Amino acid sequence: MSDALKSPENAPDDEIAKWVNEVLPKAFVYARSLVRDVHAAEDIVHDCVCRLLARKARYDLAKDGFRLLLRAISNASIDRIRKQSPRLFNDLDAGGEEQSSALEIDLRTIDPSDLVLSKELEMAIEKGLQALPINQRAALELKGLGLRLAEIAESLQITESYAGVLLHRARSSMAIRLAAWLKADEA
Amino acid sequence: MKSHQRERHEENPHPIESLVGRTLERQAHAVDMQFLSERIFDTRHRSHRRIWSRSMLAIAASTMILLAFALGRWESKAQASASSLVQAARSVHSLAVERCYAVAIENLSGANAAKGFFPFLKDVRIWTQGDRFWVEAKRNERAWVWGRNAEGSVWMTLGEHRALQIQAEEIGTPLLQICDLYSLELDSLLASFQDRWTLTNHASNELTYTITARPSRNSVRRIGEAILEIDRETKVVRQLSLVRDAGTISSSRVTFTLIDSRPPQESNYEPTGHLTEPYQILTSQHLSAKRTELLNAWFGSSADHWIKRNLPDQTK
Repeated sequence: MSDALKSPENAPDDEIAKWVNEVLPKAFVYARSLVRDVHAAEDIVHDCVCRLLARKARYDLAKDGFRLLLRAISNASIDRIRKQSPRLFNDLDAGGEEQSSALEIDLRTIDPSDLVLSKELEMAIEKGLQALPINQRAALELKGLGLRLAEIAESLQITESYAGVLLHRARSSMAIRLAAWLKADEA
Repeated sequence: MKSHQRERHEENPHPIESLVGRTLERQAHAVDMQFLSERIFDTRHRSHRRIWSRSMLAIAASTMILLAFALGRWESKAQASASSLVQAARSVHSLAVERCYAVAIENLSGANAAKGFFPFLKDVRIWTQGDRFWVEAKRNERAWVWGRNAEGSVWMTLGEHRALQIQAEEIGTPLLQICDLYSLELDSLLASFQDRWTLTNHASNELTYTITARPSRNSVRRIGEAILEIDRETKVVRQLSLVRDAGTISSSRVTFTLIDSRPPQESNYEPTGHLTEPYQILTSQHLSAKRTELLNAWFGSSADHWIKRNLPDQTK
């Protein structure tokens, strides 16, 4: 990121615009995946970005902006789900307990860059993500977006070790769902 | 040890995490964020103005003023979002797509208000693109088409082989009011909402944004209020409800509801697009008495004053 953003109170509008346009697609895709509603995701991202920009003098947008935005989106999305479906929210951590031993391959031996992200695989990943409880989905997606475990924990307002548990459960569930593709690529 | 493992894991992400990251990355490349981006900057721009207002108001430091400011903040935020939505709708409606709206009119001024006018027609459809429009109307067994061109002339087809055109300066008050009631110059209308009206975004649902537009105190408009329903996905105006105040005559609520869209057919914005050869178009080059006679035959005595009398004779 540019130096202009490091002193955000003086950051010119085009630098802010550049930052917003850079983070917006990923933030939107993440929000959409959490709330499963395009319009709700649009509203959440709009509100979170506006709030962040309104307080930009307090933060280093270039360094922390994306992480803070993801944290705000996580909170707003989970809050929305909680209000809409309290029952579903109580089952946040249900599921995801499938035994990854059912997968007869060692995922660690796979180089992700060898995997071809075909349309079918992408659809299976999307379907797999949608089947995860929201906390696991959020943890896995935040990891996919490049956040470290401590940052995921901060975003979801949980302990670091619990974030690790969520990630482990999410990976196990996804590994079973994607077994066919992973095995094929291993072969 | 655990910490060491964690660090190693952070450096070498799990294949599942990589796949999820790449999927999100690909999805992020595929989404169009222009509208959302504009919406954010519109809100931000207006919030700057709010901040300036806040520092001024802080000097006064009275509870009432702060309360008013809080209200102003809320209204301004709603205005920001609504303004960007109206802008998005304008952009969409400037594209080469012709849209058809069903027109419904509700009389808000009592039974006598429509005296001297069309009875409110029940089956009216208006086709529009940008500021252009043409109208299909039916009354009893008769159907006709009319439109207004950029110069303000009104044309009207009366049957398959005949049309008449009335120049802007020839149009009598009753016809002018009818034209204003049924017309839809959408681009100009949306532009005026943006420029001078107070916009409030409210009651949006899963499918549409609902925006109320009210004229500012100083604007002289013949529309008292407008309610727009803008499609969340396409930003097309799905419904537009206008409370028209025609001054000395009736006050009416006109509701335009989107029913169809298609590629534009240019010829339909001229009378010739609705006529079959051989045809005759009576213009100001023909006697106004002849045109009035035709109008009377179609619309009865209420059409007596649709064309002004005592204008200089252009037939000579």
